[in-house]
Amino acid sequence: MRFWEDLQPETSYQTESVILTEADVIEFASKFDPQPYHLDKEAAKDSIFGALCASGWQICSLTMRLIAETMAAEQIAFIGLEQILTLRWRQPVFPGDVLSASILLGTPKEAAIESSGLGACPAQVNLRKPDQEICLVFQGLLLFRKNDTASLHEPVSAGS
Amino acid sequence: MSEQNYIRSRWFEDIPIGEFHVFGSYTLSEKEILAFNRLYATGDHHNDPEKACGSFYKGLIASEWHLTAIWMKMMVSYMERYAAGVQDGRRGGAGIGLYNMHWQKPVRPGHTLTFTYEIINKSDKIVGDKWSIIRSRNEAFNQNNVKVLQFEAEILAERAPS
Repeated sequence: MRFWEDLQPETSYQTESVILTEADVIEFASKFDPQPYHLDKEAAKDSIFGALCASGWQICSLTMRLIAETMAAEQIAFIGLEQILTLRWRQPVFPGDVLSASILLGTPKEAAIESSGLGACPAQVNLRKPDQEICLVFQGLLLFRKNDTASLHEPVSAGS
Repeated sequence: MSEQNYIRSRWFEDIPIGEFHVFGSYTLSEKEILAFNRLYATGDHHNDPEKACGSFYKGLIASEWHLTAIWMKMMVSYMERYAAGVQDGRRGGAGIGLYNMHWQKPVRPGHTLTFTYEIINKSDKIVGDKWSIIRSRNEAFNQNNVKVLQFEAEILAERAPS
């Protein structure tokens, strides 16, 4: 397992691809975002999006899953998300769109939350369609576990 | 869409900075936390109540975007009541971005969140002929009145027909 201490700045990762079906879109919207353009194909035609599209919150949720799966595959002790600095929904996501994300890590830093067990790392995440059109972009702070084994067994002061 | 008779209309121009709403309160169950995380979040702290006790969080917690999805659900149902009989220019619009979003405290099964919403800025820039941008500050507090989530959201609201 690789921990916060092992993260390399300016490393990028590419996630797997995923497709949301019309049923996925409608199911999420029925539970959390019941607006006509996420629920009803006919009503969506007259909407700002022009067709049935996924809730922006579903896109964020799905992007997090892609990130988490990629980090797990890389054996990185990824925990979650501490902050979003900025996020833009650039394009609507329609059922059948094939989506994948890129993750570019910045320089690791201490987490803002009151904890000694977790560290943060800035990241830029882009969710793209196959034609490379970006539908979601965010800058955020990802959380990783620190290597508590190291903190238990290494001397506190290098000079001691 | 059927013809609907509105009592009045409320456009971008009519929505004042400082307008404040409490969407209401919502209690999360373990069942719904697990159902959401099964689809969208990985890790024992999100998916396994027993193993979660040995995780960093010492128990099951809701995932980040589950909390914002519940915010959305509260927003839609609140606005349906608040804007009953009103053509509200916010309702056909779309979210375009988020800022300064912090998940400050873990949210666990049985916690009750209360969601607040305040209009903090309006941009007169016109988007797509008839929309302008409204920014809101959103906060969620738990049952001990501790803030667990905050973010600013920008949405498009329809301008008054000229």
